[in-house]
Amino acid sequence: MIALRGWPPHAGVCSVALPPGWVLLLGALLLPLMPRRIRSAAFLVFPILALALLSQVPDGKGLSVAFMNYELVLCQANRLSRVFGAIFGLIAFIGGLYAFHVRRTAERMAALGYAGGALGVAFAGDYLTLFIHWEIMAISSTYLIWARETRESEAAGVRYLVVHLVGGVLMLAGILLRLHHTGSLLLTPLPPSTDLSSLLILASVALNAAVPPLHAWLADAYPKASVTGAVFMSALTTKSAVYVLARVFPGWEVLTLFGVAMALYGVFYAVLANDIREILAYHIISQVGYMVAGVGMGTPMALNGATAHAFCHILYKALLFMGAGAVLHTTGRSKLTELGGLARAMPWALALYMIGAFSISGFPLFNGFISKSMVVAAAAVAHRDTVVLLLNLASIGTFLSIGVKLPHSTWFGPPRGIQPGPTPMGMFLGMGLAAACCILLGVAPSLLYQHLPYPAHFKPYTPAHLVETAQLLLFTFFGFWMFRRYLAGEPTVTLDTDWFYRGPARVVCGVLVVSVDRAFDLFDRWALLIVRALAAFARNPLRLLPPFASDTDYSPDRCRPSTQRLLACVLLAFVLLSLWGLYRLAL
Amino acid sequence: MTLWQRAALSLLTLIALACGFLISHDPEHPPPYGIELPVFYALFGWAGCVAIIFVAKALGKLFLQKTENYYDRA
Repeated sequence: MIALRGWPPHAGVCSVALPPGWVLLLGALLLPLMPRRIRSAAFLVFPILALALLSQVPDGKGLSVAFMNYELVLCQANRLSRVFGAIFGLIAFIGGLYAFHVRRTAERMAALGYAGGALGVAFAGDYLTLFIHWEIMAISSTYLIWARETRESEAAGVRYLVVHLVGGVLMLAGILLRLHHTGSLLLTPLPPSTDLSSLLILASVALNAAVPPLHAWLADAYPKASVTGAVFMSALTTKSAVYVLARVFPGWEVLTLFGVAMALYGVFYAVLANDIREILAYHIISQVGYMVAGVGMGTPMALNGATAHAFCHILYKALLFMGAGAVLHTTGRSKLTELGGLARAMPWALALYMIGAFSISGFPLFNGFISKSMVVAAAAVAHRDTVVLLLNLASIGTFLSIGVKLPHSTWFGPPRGIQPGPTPMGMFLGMGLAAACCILLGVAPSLLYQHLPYPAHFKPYTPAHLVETAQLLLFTFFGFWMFRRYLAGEPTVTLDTDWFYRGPARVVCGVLVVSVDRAFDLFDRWALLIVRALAAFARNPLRLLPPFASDTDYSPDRCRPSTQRLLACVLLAFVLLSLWGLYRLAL
Repeated sequence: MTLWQRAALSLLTLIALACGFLISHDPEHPPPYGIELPVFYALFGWAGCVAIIFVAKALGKLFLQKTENYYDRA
């Protein structure tokens, strides 16, 4: 907390809390100015500084400035923003550790800027600040896709950027409409309504949360991002959207419906996916479904569950992406049909991946068990039996794909003669730290529960819950074992809602890009023709005056003095006219 | 699976099923629709797993799965 006298201008002595996200944004700008050899280590300093600053930010409005006639709250803290801010900062540190070997400064800058944007969203107190950080996230994360430097990633990055810019436009339109109606930009919870401004903002946030049918960008882009970039992406975009949903749209019943639908949607698509990071990407959609459903139910327990699950999910999902990334980094392969038999060559990567897999599957003693069950229990306490059953069904699918199918095909499948390269130490350290956090929270859930937005009295380790979980997981495994031959990877792509814009993209590109290009080309040629004609005419202007027309008599030198005199007269007349006008104005 | 893995799995399964009969539900985990079946989640786990596999695969074969160069060709 920094004490500033007389600033903002209308205040006397005030305490100002700097937004923790600014530390990361500043870090992104400073990083290229530092010596190359210390950039990896310097990257890690900024998240630590941001976390330290976060712990000092007081509750309530920390920093507000006047912008035109409106108040912008650049930093506003509450219990919800603290939990999300803490995990965004922590994952930026873990991601930095994992990416310690990366040499591309631009990729590091993008990652820091991206995390800074997410932290900025978590501490934004008004819609405009939120929007600006939202867009910083969209642009910086796009670079993390392009950083893979393949033809697929270039195209996927463009699609990702276009989709997110459309989302940004929706949000800006909603904010402006809201500003027009209420005259305020302050970030306050919106009551459930069919008001257009609220719906536009909701659509934009739902797009970032990957709520179907606005989700296809995620499964399209994340598998094509750089190995280290995907770790940051798995943690930040969807969870910052969950934060905004929890902050602005708690209790919107429609979110429960969409949350349950997306929990199942991701599960079914993951069964069909062949790329290991695509499987993980579909399970982000599925897991975010629990959070969205929790926000939709809107009870203190459900909101606590959504927040806790976001926190835990970021840790185990980043760990899973790190494990899959280690496979991709060392083998250059990421498809089930090309992988297999890596358990002997990569035992540590397998062990760390499995900690993430046990966590996401909700095994006791791992963090997914203490967070996912809170959302499900919130539904059970509210007697929403269908929601309980469907979320449990999604849980079955999660264990099926992430817990058994993916490791079975990647590490235990038939050996394909792959000789993986060495895994950088930073990758192990990043994975190890994330795995330790997953186990720590699973063993001591109160470490997280005490920081949740509402007092949490939930007890995950009850005999009934343990028995239910054991039965569910064991018999899911039996189902897998009986029918595992049907789950082998297939060299296919799965059509998703991106089909609706990837198909017509060629036509749209033709109309908006190629035709405009051609029109400019045509105008260019016409302009050149006109210029050539004028040049020819300038050689002998007398040609246009038939009495004086002559191809041979015209000499520019002969005409120059008279032209000069004529122009001087015109200019003098103009100056006199101007002076007269000024004189009249002065009178 | 090795023999000891099968044995461990069988033991765990027996314990989980037996505990289903011995332990009553707590307020935060009431049985869905009031179905007081001690092995409910075992049945649900197996049936859910099989349903997910076959429904997903059926939808995939029906219209969702295409060759890898589908979008390049289009």
